[in-house]
Amino acid sequence: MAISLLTHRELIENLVMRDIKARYKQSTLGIAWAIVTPLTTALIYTVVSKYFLKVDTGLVAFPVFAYYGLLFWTLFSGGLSGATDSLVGHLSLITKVYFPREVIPFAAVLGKLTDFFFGLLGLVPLLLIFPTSVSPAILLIAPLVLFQVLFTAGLGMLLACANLFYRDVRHLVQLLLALWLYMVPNLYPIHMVPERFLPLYLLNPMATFIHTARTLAFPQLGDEIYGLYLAIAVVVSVVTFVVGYVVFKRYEPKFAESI
Amino acid sequence: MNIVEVTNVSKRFQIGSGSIKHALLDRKAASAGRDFWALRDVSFSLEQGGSLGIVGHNGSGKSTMLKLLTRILQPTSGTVRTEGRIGALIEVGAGFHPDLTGRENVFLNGSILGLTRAEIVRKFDAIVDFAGLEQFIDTPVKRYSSGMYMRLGFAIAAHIDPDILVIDEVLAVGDQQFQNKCMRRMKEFQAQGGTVIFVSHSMSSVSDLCHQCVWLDHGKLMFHGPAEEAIGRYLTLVAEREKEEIKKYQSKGETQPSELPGEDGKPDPDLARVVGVTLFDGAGRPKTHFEAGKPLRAQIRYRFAHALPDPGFIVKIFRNDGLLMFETNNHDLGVRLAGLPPEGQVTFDVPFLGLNEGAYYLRAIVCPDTTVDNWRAKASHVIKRAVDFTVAVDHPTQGCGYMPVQWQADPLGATPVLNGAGAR
Repeated sequence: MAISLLTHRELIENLVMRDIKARYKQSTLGIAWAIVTPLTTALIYTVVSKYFLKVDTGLVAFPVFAYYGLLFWTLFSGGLSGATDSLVGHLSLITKVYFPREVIPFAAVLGKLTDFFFGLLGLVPLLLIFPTSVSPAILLIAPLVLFQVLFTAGLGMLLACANLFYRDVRHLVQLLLALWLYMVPNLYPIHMVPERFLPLYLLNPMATFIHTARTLAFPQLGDEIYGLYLAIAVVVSVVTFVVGYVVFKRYEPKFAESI
Repeated sequence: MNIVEVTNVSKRFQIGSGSIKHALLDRKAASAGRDFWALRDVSFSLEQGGSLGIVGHNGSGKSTMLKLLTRILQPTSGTVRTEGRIGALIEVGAGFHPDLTGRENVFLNGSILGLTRAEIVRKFDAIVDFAGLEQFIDTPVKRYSSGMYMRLGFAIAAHIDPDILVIDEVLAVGDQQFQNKCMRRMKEFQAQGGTVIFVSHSMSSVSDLCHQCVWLDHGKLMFHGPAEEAIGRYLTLVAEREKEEIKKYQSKGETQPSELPGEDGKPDPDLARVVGVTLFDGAGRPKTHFEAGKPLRAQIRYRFAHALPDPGFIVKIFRNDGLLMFETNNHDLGVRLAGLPPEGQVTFDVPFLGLNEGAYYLRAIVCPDTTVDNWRAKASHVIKRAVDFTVAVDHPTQGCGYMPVQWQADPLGATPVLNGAGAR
């Protein structure tokens, strides 16, 4: 599978670039929207946390805390819903040209990485407004992001297939994501999770990824990294990817006639 | 060596609704009796460098066959084997993004069709030149006319340099000049040893480009062999089916649906109307099947609101694929039809039918006044397909027209005309 993705690297790149270009064409701000959007989100959190929702996030200001976690969450949720819709959105192509179909959900997931990087840039002004120190260990999020992308792509390939045959799936995915958002330590710190539920909670790879990424960047929170659960999350991601790929390839011959 | 081998291929489609509710609750109902066989047990092969046309009416399985050859679909049973890179043009510009410029789309579409970036860079100028879009290459393709869109799409596909080029019906769009350019490009490709598979409803394009033909009918292989023979058989069947259609109309007591002229001027069928057209052979018998070189008479029945001093009748003969073979009218031949009664008929006599074998139809147009400017465009009534007929030849000839010819040996080389022409 790695080979097919490598040989079609250029096609994936082109599909990703097409989505990015098309998204910002004919808008005055253009690519700046990729920064404006997360910054506005951060501003909303600032207001909400100051006046309405008082969450104790210790030594890291809530806007920084929530914004950073949300970068990872958005990378996941955006990639997953994008991948779910991707095959249906490319039906005209699927019925007219042959090329390995896995590049379609893959491009949908990878396209969200650009938003993620711009979002990381948006973190900089936020860190200046709410003076917060960042550990150099933040660089270690790179492998985390890799596994998170594998996890997203694996699930995405499964759901893209399912959605092609049953269009109900995309609605289910939206419900699932709405629920899943509260099962990750995004808008609250992990110590608010009851002790007895913690092992179960951390079996959710996204909870572990987000928690680990935050602990790496902000050690001042005093949280620990759960090595065992991180290892489980990595294994789950790889397995999800392999299963997703195998199922996808199994149903691929039927895609063009499932209109 | 065979570069394409299709062996006992069948393709079944399931016509279902595609919802979870049906899949879970209605499993039996969903699977029973909703199968549709687009192809049944089709086999043929094609040699390296060959050119194969696929003909058949709509729904005969032509497009399904192409999609199997290009791996878009997988056969339900049987095997499809192809060798080398396949360049497919199933739909021009599939995968174009409207917001991206022509340039960006060339790179995107090129990589979808399997070209590497380096290859596209190398061929970029040739592609743009072929499409004739130098000025507009940095304009978003959503602002392109459909012709420009199509030209760019074909230009990309024409430069894939595949081993097998598969083309579906794309020449139906585009102006004559571009169509000719595409045909030339395909012939060049053939001349360089490329293999072509071509689907079209235009029999002249098929016979021009293809040596062999596969004729499909309702998913079954009717004939595989020399192109001319396949086309001939196909057209004969088409003509027979159309005769049945016409009979159905006539038995219902209806005439063919008449349509507006589609040109300027207000049609007014109440002022002058073509009631119908009947064809007769040389012996005066009503017929729809004729022999090339023999006489044909068309009788056009009309009805006028009142006597018209200078009415005009236009007769057009089309080949079944829409090619205009011949057009004439009484006015240009200097025939005034003054003093016609308000209801009656005019006849149009052809002593020598110069059409080659095939299926044709006749269009009848009546214009109330030939003395006005641009009188042709001011028709009051048109029957687009007034009557269908077929033509047979006694000895096979190629091309659109039919002429009497005589071959003879000329052992002394003494024919003065030929010598004169050769010496000049």
